[in-house]
Amino acid sequence: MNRALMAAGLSSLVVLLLALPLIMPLAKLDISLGVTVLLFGLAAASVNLLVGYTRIMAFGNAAFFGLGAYGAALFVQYVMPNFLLAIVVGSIAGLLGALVLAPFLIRRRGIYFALLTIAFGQVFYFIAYRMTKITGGEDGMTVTRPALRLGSWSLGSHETSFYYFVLVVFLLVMLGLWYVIHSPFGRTLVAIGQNEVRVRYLGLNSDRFIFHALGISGLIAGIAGALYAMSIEFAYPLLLDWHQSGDFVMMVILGGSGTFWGPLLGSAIYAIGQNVLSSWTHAWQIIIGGLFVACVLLFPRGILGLSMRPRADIAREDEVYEPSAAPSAAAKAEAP
Amino acid sequence: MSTSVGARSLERADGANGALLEAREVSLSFGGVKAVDGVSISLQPGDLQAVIGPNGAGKTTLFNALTGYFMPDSGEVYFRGQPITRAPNHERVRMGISRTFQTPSIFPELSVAENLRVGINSQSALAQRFRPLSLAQRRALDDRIDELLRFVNMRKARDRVVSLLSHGSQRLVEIAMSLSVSPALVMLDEPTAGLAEAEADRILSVIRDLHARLGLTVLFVEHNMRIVSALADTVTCMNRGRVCARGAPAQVLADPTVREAYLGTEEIAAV
Amino acid sequence: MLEHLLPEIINGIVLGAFFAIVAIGLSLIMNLTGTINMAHGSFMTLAGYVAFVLVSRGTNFWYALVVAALLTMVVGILTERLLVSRLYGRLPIYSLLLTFGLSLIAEETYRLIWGPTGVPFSPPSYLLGAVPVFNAPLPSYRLVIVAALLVAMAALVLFLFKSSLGLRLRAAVQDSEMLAALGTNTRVVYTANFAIGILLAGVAGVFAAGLLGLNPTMGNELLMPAFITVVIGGMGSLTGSIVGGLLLGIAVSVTTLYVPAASELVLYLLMAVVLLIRPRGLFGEEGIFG
Repeated sequence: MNRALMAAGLSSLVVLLLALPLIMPLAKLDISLGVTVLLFGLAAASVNLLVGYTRIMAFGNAAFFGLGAYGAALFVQYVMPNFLLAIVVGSIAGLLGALVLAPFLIRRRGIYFALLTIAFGQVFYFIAYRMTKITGGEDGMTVTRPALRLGSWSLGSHETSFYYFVLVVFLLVMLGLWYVIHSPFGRTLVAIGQNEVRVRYLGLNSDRFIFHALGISGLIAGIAGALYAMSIEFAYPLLLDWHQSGDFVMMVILGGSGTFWGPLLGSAIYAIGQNVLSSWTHAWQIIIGGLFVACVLLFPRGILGLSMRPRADIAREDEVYEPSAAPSAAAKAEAP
Repeated sequence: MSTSVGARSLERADGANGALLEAREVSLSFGGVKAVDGVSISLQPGDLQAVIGPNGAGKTTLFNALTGYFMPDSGEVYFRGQPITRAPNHERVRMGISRTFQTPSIFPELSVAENLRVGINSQSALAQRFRPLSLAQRRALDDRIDELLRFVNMRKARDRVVSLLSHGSQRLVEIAMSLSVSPALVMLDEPTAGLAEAEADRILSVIRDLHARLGLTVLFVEHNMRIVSALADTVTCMNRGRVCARGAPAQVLADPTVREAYLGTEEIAAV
Repeated sequence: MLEHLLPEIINGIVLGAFFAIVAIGLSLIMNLTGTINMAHGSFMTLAGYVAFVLVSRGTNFWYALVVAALLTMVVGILTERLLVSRLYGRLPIYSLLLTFGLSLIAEETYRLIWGPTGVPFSPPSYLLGAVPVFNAPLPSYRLVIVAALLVAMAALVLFLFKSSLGLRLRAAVQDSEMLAALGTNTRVVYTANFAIGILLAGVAGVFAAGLLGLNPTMGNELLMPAFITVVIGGMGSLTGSIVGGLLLGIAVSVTTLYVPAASELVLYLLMAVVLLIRPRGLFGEEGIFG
């Protein structure tokens, strides 16, 4: 019964996504918003891998997203206007960003880890902000989206064909993510999210798993960022800012942290919500902020999270692993 | 599948003077308080030793120092003759030490089978794989899960979510998990705490089987003196971070210093 | 050369004092309840705007400072009681998101009320002069800031180590369960802790308004350096926040003089270096206030 429901849900989703270019104009929405939903959905999925499955407090993924955006934009601007290569370069930029930061992040957990992801994530923001001659600084850089040529077939600058391209990439990446999450590696990540101490006491070095998870997360966010820059033909520093990271995390929580399609749902709510709200009122940020607050307080499991097993959401003192645990942490643990 | 759960423990059992685990003068302080003060303990392969002592004596802290949850401030720990004093906890597990915790350390939202899977995969170096398991590998995994569940007599609970199980069942799952890594030494921290007599007896027989049928070396912390007397061949008593008595159960439990350590506590009535 | 450098070093100390006081507030809140207060900057900005409103109605600067800081503290207490406290015990990401959401609401509210580009807020005219120190003229306002922040830190230390509530606060960081078992109303302690953190933010906010300019995102600009100060100084260390703050302040100031484009990057560079050498931070231990 569950399987049939899942299959039905999945097919409806695919149909919806395929038909989006027809549906959106009916709601007076532009198809580029659909592209944004998909790409933010990927970025949120990259966060979900860390926050939802592995349950580590990653609050700096906008850095990888932004690196992807700038990687693609800079490549088109300064190297060559090749669409596919730009996406590849952007994706690798995201991956490298994660690999550069990972050694610093690995050593900590909990709020210290969150703090480090926030702080280190900002480095790239400042680099983009300051290197005005190369990146355009605060004003960002505009690029013209190169046409995608596959052999003799050319994907013009028509928005709808671009949407379908992004949709294909989205589905492929999600498929890859599905594969990873259901692999033994992914199962171990979930176990780490449940109880990292126990994973270590089963002989596994959780640090290495988290390192790889960060890499995968960076790669996915990089892909999303690269495509996003090509979509809006613009790359700007705020894409790298912690506010953007916070938005991605919020999408994950809204949609359902630890669920597979939660990030896409959260992205849709956020992106469409923001688009619609901003046309109604200048103060849309208050409403969005209010939504965040309400979600965290009232439905922290998110929409799709309601269908999951009850969560042990309270961080138990004895289950929080500290890589180089200092003795007084034990003072709070069980009696010696 | 002929390999028994604890076969590895019978294969190698060398080490300085044959000891499987040896700790010398281990000390560990927390903010000025010496929780473990110059404790030495030694286990030969096949030993079944209990650590007793009043609350706050340092028993769990000793376990933490021995298993790498914390690094001792001073002293040395050897496993099979190899120094492991500063080894990370996951490496000690790979070398053959396994443990349980006072509060069962399990994966609460996962099923019993999924709980066991991680340790089994870890043992067969499959845990980090991105490729899905082959049919043969999955079958081997299922067989092993079955074997472990049969050992703790929990096959019926295979697909149940662990957080919904009774406390006693959770402890049994945890013991099964600690076996999934084919250890030579199993350290159990208060395995019967919070259990009624009937459930405690289940644990008792499992521990007995660990030792007798699988040939594992067992070190366990216990407050239940009946179980201590029934199982242990050696008892170490700790008080205020130090070893205050050591020997055969009858002898230790009759020791006046041990009685004094427990003075005023309920456990002494059971002795 | 020293003549060039000295004013920058003094400037660095002023900046560092800001970093330190904001970091201490953040650290207090983080340490006791595991809450990363992403709205800390918003509280600073609030205090700035309240002081602005009061001063533009003719109130004395110092009076406005006190009222603004206290009012901001009250808002902080309400925030903690009504919102933040509901998330104690949950995974830290939730309080992170809550405070993030609050910062979004605050920022937009300030924008709506007072406009996006900021309002003029200057310190009282008698502080606009300069005082010659070692042959370099130093703006009096900056000296006053350092003095005031030093006073605030001294008051905090006095409170923590000499008052009974301060004692309970320090005890709570060690072991709140035990403290509750001993009969203390830990809720009060948590609220008081948050309140102190916000009070410090409020004081810093009013001074920052006169120094950096008052606009809806003023507080956020100090937030990141404050986080880095906490990381470098070591979580849970009062001394660490102060030393780390000063170190960072001077580093930023000096860098601004020689390599302006790298003035923020030096923060991250230092953080990376410190973390590589001492992962716990300069004074980081799990024990508090050491």
